[in-house]
Amino acid sequence: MTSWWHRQRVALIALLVAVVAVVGVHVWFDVLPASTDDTAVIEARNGSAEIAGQSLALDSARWDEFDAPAGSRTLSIRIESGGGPDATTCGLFTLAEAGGARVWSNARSVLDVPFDAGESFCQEESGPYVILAVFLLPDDAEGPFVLEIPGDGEVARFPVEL
Amino acid sequence: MPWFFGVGLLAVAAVVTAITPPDAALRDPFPVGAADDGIATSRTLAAAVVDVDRTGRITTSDEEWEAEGNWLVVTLSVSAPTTEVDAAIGVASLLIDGRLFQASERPPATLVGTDLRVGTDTVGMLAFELPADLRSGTGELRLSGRYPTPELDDVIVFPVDLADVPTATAVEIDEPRLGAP
Repeated sequence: MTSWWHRQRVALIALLVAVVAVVGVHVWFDVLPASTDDTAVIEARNGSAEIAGQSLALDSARWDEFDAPAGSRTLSIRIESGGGPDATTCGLFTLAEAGGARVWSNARSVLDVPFDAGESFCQEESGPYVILAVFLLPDDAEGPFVLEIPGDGEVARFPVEL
Repeated sequence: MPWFFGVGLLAVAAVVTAITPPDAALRDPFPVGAADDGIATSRTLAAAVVDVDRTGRITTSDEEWEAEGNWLVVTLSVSAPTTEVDAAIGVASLLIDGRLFQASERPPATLVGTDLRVGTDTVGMLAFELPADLRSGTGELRLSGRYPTPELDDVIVFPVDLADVPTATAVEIDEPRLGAP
């Protein structure tokens, strides 16, 4: 007497192949495309990186340059750009805690920052210019931070040590 | 014996049908209430109610604009828990006795759409213009992020009892400002 498993072996193998095929198709067409992040990360070397067609160099990071409400303080970050013929605009500057989950964005619009203190974001400029980003941080955020500047499908990461 | 078995299966099927949530429940938001300190924290917002008032007249601080009506004015202290990217109250609504009111777009100043900060509070106001005869009833204030219909996402919920809300002759609607209330 042959066992049930033995008699149904063709059907069982077919079922197994079908399950593997269904899972494979789902993972290949639905799961993998959703998780692909094709943003290339450019790590800054010696405080400078090439992004949006120009060379950006971290110049200074300074606490308390501008007025902030009680319990918070400002961090001003100045970036020198060399400009250039290929220079384009870049995306929103963000400052992330290197050892935490919090992310801040440029808060110049809500702080009393003079408009001529520096550009707010990358310019299509052929000559050198200065960018000033000001972040509003609570007192318990002491760094180190990572400044991220997105542009042209890439993102440049600058470590900010204080 | 087979009859008992059949009846049993029917009963099980009836129970499963009865307790199956409706299709819409697949996409329902998750209500988040305030903790003991009064702060309700959702995925993208952290909010606390500072003040609630009812009034017949709202004005702005420069007194260039005013509106009469049956107003409910809520002052909130809001921040973003983790990221400032896209952090704002996108939808503020008041659900009273099954009727849903959106925060009014008439006052020149509103907390809706104001960029929020991580670790620093923003204090601002929401004004709801209610029908003249709506003077009592219980409901809730709902706050959610930039998406117009929160699906499978947190929604902050504060209970509101209209009968308990104090009435002021006039309320000044201030621009949202940074700092603790």
